[in-house]
Amino acid sequence: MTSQLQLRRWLMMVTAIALVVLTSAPHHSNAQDGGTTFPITITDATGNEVTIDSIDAIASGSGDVTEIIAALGFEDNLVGIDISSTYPEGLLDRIPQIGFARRLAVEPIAAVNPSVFFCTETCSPASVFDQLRALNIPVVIIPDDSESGIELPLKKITMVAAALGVPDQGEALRSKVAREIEWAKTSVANIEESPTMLFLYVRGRNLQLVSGTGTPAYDLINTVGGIDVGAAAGIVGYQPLSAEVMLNAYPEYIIMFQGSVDSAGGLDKVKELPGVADTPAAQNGHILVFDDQFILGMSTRTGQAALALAAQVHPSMTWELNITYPYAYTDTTGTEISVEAATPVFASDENLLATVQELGFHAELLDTPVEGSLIIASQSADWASWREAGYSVLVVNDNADIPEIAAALNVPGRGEALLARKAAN
Amino acid sequence: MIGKLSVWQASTQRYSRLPSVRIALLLVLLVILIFTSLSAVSTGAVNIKRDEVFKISVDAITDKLHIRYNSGLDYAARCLPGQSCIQRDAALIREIRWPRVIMAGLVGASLAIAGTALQGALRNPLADPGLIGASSGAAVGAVTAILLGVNLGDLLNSDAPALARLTQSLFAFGAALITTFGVFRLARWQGRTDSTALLLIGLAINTMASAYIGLATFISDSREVNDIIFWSLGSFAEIFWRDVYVVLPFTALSVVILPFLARQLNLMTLGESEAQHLGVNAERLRLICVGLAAMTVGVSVAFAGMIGFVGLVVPHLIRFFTGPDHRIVLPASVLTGAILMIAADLWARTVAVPTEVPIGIVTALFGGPVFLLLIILSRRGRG
Amino acid sequence: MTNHLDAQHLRYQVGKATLVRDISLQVTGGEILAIIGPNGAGKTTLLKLLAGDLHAQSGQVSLNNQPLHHHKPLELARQRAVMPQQASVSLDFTTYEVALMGRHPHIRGSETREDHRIVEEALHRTETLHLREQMYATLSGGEKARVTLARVLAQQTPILLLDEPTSTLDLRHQHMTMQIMRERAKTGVAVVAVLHDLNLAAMYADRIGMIHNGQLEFIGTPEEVLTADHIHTVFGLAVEVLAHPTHHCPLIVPLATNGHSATLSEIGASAGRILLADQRVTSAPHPG
Repeated sequence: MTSQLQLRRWLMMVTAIALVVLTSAPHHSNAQDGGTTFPITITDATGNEVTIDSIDAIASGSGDVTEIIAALGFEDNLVGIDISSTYPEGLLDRIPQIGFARRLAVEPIAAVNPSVFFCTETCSPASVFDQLRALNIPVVIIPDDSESGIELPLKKITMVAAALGVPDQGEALRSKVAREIEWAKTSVANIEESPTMLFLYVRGRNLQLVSGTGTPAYDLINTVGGIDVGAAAGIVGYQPLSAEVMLNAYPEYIIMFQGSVDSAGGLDKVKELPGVADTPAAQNGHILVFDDQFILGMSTRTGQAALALAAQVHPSMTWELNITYPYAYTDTTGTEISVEAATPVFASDENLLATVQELGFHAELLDTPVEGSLIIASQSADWASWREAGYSVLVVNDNADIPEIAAALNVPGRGEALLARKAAN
Repeated sequence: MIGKLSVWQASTQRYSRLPSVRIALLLVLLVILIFTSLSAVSTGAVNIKRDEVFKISVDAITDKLHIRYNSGLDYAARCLPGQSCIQRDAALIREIRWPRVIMAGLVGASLAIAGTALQGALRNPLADPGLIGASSGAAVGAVTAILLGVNLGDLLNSDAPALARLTQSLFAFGAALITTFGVFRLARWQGRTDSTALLLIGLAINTMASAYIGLATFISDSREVNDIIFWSLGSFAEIFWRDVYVVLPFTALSVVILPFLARQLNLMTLGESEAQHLGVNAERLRLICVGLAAMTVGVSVAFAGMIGFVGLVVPHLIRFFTGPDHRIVLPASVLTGAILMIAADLWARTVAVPTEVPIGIVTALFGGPVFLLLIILSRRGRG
Repeated sequence: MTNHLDAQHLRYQVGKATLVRDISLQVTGGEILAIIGPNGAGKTTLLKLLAGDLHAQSGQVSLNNQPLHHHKPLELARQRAVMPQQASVSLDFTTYEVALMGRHPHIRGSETREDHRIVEEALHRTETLHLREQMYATLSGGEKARVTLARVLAQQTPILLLDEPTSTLDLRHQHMTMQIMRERAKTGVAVVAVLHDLNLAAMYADRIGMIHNGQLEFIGTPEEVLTADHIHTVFGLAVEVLAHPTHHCPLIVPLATNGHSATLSEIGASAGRILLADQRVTSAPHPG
């Protein structure tokens, strides 16, 4: 029984990762193609007017900002990044490092000869910004406040895009991320259970912090319909782990960074920590480990992170688990479509949408589909142009019946169940 | 009678030579200080040729120190490929490296001379600026400023991060003075100050201060913790010219006044009453020494964080070579403190590029073993 | 050299314990005043009051008709030197450097040849010149005392206050020290010395003050103060007071302390051979 459960967790994990890989935007360099002329003057998060002469050489002092810069297509303009810039992968191997977001020093930044320096409000020490300004290096501070909640990534994207002179691409990226966050919210909207959760930060043996309100973890947990028991216990920000508070909080799930687990000497060591050991989370193996920057980076992947977390903490959200991915399906146009994953699904009309949703998928009406998403369209729809644009399009007959749609989505069993339910009604 | 005379001449020779020996030693130390400073200014994450460093530095001086913070001088933000980097380098050397090196020198000199004066005035070779509560008092002040989120910027309607740092510094300075004189006041009993009581009370205050700082790190959020840790381990990474201008007068005050008290400090080694019998106003001497030490250390700690061992080790190091005469130990400790701090900071910022090792860790790392070695050697020296 | 130290009705107490009660005494240039008394009698406290280290609750000490606290520390240091019971140095100064510190009140700027000459002479006189390059901290107790004496002499003051200067010294150096005091007195210096050895006091002091329970019980010439009666009253010890064989001064010889008094003739013939009964000093009548 236990092993079966664990297998399910693993499957969930794999699915989540597949999701992430699928939904991330492909890179294509669109530097300067907006035709914006430099210098640009913007007002940054600290209210400073910053004039940027050139974005030829960008230094980024924070991983979340690096992620946005890369997603906007300016990866090749980066000349220096901090060590939290773990995404896109491999960046740290190619681009010189300039320190760590929380321990910045002026010279390593000046050494990469940047034309502009990006960092967030939480970068420290803040006097490094003054020093860089003294060297006439423009400093753009990106918002990193706790009030914005789960909307924070959107604010960051808007500011970075404005500073790079690509507001339109910024808007596209912003709406993609906003939509992903929205999916995560809607996917848990109908789930009644509210799992109790807690974020635990560990650094080595001596530093163990639990988060509460005003943290990205709190926002993420709320987004996936969980209860942050750290916040419920009255914690604001981060506080040292106390065994009693931990027991009192009784979290069913504990979220951790991969880095934390590594520094503690592995998951087994974490499970033995005083206070942690007696929680249901530790006893049921519900310590959820994610990449640091992915889960709480509050950047381009936050929606995906929320969805990945939701999949792990809501066992009833099993709609994607009965499907084996990838699968091939030959649709009515005779085209064999290889489906990597079934979410998100865009339907071409209202009827189709209703059925897809009844089958347990998270679907939206086809409007502006996101790159990498799956489209299910009726034959009379303009499926050909979508297919040309590079999307996976499953074409079904006009007025397709439930079995056909269920087959296209590789859930024939669920289709039959739906039919039976409708018949019973 | 002849024998007596020749003996007298020999001794007189030895002691009348002392001033010239003293001057020679100080000159040597001064040369080392200049060399160390220039090396420190020419070394860093950005590679700048030494002759260029020299030229920029000379220019800066001949510019009659027209170095202004964020003044919009003709610094280029970056050097473009194929073009000279001299403007960028000039900006870096003038605005970042020189203030940093000078600040390290000032703080090293302050801590060392404060340590020397305290060890003399309190007749305790283990007296350290940290011991009389100056360092921890400053720490408490700065941490309080961080915790309360007090910011001069709020008063001035500005949110420049520099103002937050300045606020912390002022809190640190004020708290250092209050703590030190509080310790001094508590140690006064029937009109006299007992050195043992002073050190014990300082110890108690230090313990309370570190408990307070510990508590502060526990109740503050992660960003504040970061600030507190960064600050309590010490760093010269955030130094501007304006900080140098604040610290300079305080260091100068100690460096100018204390050498005049050198002979009186020598007499204090005989004991408080004995010094008094020889015409020293021991109470006043101690007040001046502790006051100056608290002031310079408080200001140093406020700008550079807590940096241990320099105030303790430098006086011992110098006495090991020159003997205990404060007339040589005081000025020599000023120079040696500056040299060692500049060197330590150079190491701290270049050993782990692109990050910096906190300076407090460096001084403890090197200062601890050196102190132990000095103890062993001096014991062996005594046979 | 006009030097006159005058103490009037000194009273000093710590908490409820009165250490000095109503002591008045004067000392002028050219004389040695020895202060004697049992342990805890208040000798050192009296000396500290005279030195200005402690301030009497009532009464006052005047130096040359000026209250002590009217003198500035440096001015005072040129008038009187104080030799402490023990002197430690917290840093590694050499013997010479320690002795040179005695010149501090006289040095303006840097020390002169004259200063060095005086220090050399003082070290020579106290037989410590050969130790001048040694670390003071490594000296023996007696050597330290002699170097301290040299430092005090180098101060060249018209008044010398000495707290048990001979307690750590061997017999020869005890007498050397007292001879130096005599020499100084001859040049007009006023010397106040707390002494333990009654015979040393008897031999060298011009006057002796005997203190008991914080009070000056007797003061006067050695012959007046050092009587068997006085010593028995103050020290609680039976003694015979004889005449010194070569000096014109009393010689105190303790008798057996096992409860019963014995006369010298009973103790032994060898001692009695010199100290004949008719040479005994007759006891002076009580001053009060």
